Amino acid sequence: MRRLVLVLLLLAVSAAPAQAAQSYYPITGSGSSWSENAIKQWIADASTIGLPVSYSGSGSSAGRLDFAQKKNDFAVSEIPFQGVDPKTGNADNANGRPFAYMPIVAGGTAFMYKITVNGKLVRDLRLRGETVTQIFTGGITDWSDDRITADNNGRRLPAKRIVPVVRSDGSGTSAQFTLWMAKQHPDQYCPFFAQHVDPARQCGLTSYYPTFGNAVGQVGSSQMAGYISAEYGEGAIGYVEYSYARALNYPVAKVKNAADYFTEPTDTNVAVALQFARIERDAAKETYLTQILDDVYTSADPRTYPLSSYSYMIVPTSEDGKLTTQSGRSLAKFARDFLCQGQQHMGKLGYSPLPLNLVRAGFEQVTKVPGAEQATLTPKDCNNPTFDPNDPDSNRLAKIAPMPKDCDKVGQGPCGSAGGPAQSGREGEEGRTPDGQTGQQPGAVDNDGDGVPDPVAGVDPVTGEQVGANRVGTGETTGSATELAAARSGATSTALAVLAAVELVLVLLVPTFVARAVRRRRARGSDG
Amino acid sequence: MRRALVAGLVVVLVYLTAPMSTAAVVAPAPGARPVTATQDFDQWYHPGGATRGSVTVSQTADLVRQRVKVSWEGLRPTRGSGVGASYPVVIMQCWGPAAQVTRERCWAAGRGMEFGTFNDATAWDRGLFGDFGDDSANLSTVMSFTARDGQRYSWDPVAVDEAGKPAAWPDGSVRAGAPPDLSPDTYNFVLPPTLLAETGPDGRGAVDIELLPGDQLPSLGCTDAAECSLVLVPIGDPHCLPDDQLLLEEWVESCKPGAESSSFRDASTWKTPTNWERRFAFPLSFRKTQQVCGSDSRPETSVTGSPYLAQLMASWRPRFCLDRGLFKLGYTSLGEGEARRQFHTNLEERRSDGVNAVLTARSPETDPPAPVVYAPVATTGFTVGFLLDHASGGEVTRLNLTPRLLLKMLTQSYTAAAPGIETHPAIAGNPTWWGSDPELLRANPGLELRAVGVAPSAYPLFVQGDLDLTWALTAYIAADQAATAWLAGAPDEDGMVVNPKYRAQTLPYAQFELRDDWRVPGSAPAYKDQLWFNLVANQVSSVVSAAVALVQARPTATTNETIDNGQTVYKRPERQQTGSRALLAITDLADTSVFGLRSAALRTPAGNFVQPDQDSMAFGLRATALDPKTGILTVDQAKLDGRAYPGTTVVYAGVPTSGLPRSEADNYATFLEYAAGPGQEYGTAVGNLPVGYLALSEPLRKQTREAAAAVRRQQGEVPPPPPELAQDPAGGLLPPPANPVLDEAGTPPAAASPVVTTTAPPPSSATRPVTSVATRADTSSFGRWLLPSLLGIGLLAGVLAPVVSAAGTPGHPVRRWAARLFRRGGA
Repeated sequence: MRRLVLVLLLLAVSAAPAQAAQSYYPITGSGSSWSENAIKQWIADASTIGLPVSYSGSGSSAGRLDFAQKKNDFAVSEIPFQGVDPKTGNADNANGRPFAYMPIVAGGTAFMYKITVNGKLVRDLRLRGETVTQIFTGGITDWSDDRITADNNGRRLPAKRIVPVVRSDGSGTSAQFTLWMAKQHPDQYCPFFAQHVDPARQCGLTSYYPTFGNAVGQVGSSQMAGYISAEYGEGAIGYVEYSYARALNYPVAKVKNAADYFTEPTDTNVAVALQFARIERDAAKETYLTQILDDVYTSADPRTYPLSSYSYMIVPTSEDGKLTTQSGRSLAKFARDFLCQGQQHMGKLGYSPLPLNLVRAGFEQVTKVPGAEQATLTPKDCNNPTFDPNDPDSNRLAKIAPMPKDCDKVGQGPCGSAGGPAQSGREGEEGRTPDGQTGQQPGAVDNDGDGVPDPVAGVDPVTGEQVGANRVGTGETTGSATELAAARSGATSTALAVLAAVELVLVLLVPTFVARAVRRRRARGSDG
Repeated sequence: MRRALVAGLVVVLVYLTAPMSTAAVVAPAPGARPVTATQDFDQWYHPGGATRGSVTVSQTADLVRQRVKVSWEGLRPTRGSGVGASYPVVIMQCWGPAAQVTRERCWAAGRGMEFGTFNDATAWDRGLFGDFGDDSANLSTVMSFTARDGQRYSWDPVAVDEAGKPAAWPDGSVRAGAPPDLSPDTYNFVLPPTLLAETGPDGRGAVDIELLPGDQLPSLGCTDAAECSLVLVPIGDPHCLPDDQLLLEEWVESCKPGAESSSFRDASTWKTPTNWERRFAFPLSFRKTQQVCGSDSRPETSVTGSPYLAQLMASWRPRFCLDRGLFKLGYTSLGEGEARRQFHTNLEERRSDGVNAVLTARSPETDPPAPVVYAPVATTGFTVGFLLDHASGGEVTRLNLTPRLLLKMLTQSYTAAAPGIETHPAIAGNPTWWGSDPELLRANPGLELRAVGVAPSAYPLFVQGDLDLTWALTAYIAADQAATAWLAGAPDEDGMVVNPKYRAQTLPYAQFELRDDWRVPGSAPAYKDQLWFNLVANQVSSVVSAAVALVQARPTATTNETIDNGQTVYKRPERQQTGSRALLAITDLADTSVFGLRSAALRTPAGNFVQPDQDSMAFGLRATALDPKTGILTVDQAKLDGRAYPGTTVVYAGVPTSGLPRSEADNYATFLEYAAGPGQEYGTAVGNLPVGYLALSEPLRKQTREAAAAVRRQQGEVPPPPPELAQDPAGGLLPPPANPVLDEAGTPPAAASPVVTTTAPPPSSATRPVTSVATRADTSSFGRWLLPSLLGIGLLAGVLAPVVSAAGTPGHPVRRWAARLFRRGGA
């Protein structure tokens, strides 16, 4: 009998659930909206292991401030603590709260823009760094400017006012952008800095982009992307993380790198660029693991996207009254998971996954968080897409990154426009139809009265080919900016109208009065 | 011996039958049913007024992170409003059994010592409140909080000594500062300023409170095993010490019943012994915590796309990782348009970290470069969630919306009470918001909403991005004649016109647009020169954020004008207070249901309004059209009958049937097999189909099973949808289609088409060919008319020239003739 009980007990014990998952203390964070799309993905992943994380993308400056005031368990920021903010003069430090920086994800700061020609978006804009700087400091104010035309290999955009959209909240994206301008194009940027930010301070980055000229301010990356994609965003250009533009299916400008190629911030191009980032290696310094991007800006690899950077998580390294060992355990687990498996999703979302050397450094930082469980990084189990087992110190994405196309090179292209450099302003070229259309689909008709244009048969009437088949990419039409032969600017039209009126008056009146004068003289002569 | 026993028994009996504390405690009720408690109040609560009150909580069992509604009657009416109101109601969540709840176990702010406690007839507890040793200093002490793990916190900032220990508790038992899980996410207590609960003059009131389980709020640690309680404290008049023991003259006055001073009777007096005794305590029991994945370094096999499936994935992913027969399932939420684009690109690149399987609700616009099979995963739909309070108090429980009303909200046609709106070229005469639109009031007889501060409520929360949800909503609108006629420019019955910026906008579309660029005039008192319609647009970046913002009643419009560092900045407003909430959100049914939000009823072509639920979605399935190329069903708005929900959507997984690595192919096939079977069981355990989804019908499951087999084989085949799908897409969910006489609901069948015909859809709508983007014809009136006008001017000149020369030549015969004419007239 006793044996039966014993056996039953043993069975009961062995049938117990294999693994009672341990619960995790909830943690909260705030900061960068640049990184927000990535963090939301990691939060969803963390919830599957019972780790509640909440995050508020209130801007890098607000996140750093919350960290200093012990209102959050972690902050996310594109830039480290600055000491003092150059624009507001407020203190920008951790206020005595012990902390460490940890890289979390890489990406490119992209220039999202909206220019429509004939109702279609221009999708192939390219800009040099100097041009971008001049646009955002008020030096270039019209899209038809010669400098923009030169960047686009002679393809001139229609005359349209440029509306630079800037972040009016404390933004790490603004800081990264202004840092690049200060380092690469000081001649145009520094006078602007002196005039609008702080004349007493040395030229450098700022998290609060000043408004100037035609610029419009928006709060947060999401709002900025929303403004540019709105109907009234015509002519606007702003700076956001690449994922925001992708989500709205809006184009970003290709930026020229030091190898004279124009590139986009794809995950592979960013991976290539960040191979040249210098990282503070002195673990004793407070700025350990922060990035120095000077060599990224000037990298001669043709695939480089110059404005590549990675963003940091600021983690507490002591039980400081907000963080406890329980929340520290959660934070460490969250971090290790997103440094490894979490990087798999970054390419899809418009970021670039961290290379393994940064992941390794990140793991070291995580061990400083009180309550962090012991864990060693085994690259094989890390599932990081940049990891190449045959060459552990390299970045696999950087290796497989495709070279840019020839049409992306200075002096060629732009890629994607119809037939190379356009002829603008010349009459009667290329057999255009009288009302100025250039080989588009026939206008929409609605025969079944449902208020929606009828679906057109899937054959292109101009080329006779199946629409959408064998097309590279998505088969959507793009606006190619070619000037109509008959187009004239508003001012010219007014002048011509005045001229016509004057001519009319002259045609009617002058002969009459001349004839009268002649007759009078004749009459006088005959009298005389 | 026996006598001692009897005595002991008597003692025990007496103890057991002695009256419990006067506070009302109720036994837990099974299931999700409302629970009511009633109690009599003490003589000081409301002299000459309420003596007995009752409180009802809508749900106290099987709780998850959710809102519950607390309503009451017979309480003392609140005097005043807002933070300084007298006699409000305070509600909080506490840990421990309801019968044993104490103040220090309650999760609530307002813990500072106040006059009510200081002067209460019952002496205040110096261990609980801390003691500086000097009563004048004690006026600024605070009540400590004890967490479930026994750790005590001061909650509020307090004076500390050099070691960091609070001075008021010299024994060091209390930690200075708030518990670590105190954050804006866990401010669930109904206390000003966060949330207010006020009683109307009739003694009634109601408010919602969000309840937090242990994984969200470890300090309370509420789980299925660890009891918690919901405590409501009705604030009444204080019961002070006798007058001669009060230290200040003004306190004597304030202690009198009904006195003016609110500091003795505001929300922070919930902790006075007198008010505490008036409490109602309800036991709460939470649902068993879900199982979750353990630490796992297996690589994930991911699906990417449709936000419709976020809640489903949150349920399925833990099941997949816990079951060794399945695999580690990954999910990335991405707008379907972007997901489809990346999927197509990756069919060529085949990157392992690219999109290898897409979740979509619509067919792609171009053919994929490799064979792809689309398998149904779940059925759900878009909804318009709402959170509205009646003008007379109480929450609106049903809202009917017509397509034209939705269109008005999507075309920036309401003025949102913009300052200086008279300068707008077109819509100055339009209503300020949908709540005062006569069309809404006709569709909802008896509805009356408050009209204060409508700017942040005038437009619904909507998601930016290329989404199938947007497409489905605008397709619903596009099928309505009244809506499209209004869009073309015809005013509605009350004279409201469409914003000209949106006139003749092409419907449907996949991305919401903001078009109006009108600026507030510089002479306006506020919002000078701002793009008004950009400010009041309630944009969110994800479908779930729309639901979160709605449940928090917090618009995302930036209508709060503030000065920050010398610059005028526009920020998001705070939460709308109970009693004057008005907010809509365009989101999906799964998120709405999980958050406990209500969805509007949408009008069908038959004229009636249908709410989203499983039956109406099943009827919606019958009203679909099949794309023969991809096998994807989408609602054909013309086929909807009076029982179908217009927003019904089937979500598909698109998986390539060739070129996948073996392990990935097996995993995707396993995923599809799970979706065709166990994944469709309703329930709340991990792996079940969560609330807000409709289980797949039999033909859809068959389609998924066949797709799973093709994915596993990886031979490049794309199986066609099963024939049963065309016969009855809702097979197995609804009884087979019967004769179209009057159905049970009493609505007559739609006049245009029979209610239940499910023959093959007419070819015109089924063969929706692949098209390029419909281009807008471009015209140039200037180019067209320039040449003719020049010629006309020349002709005119030619005609007039002889006339003018004749007029200018003295003695010309024409001139003489004209002069004779006038002279005859004159002389």
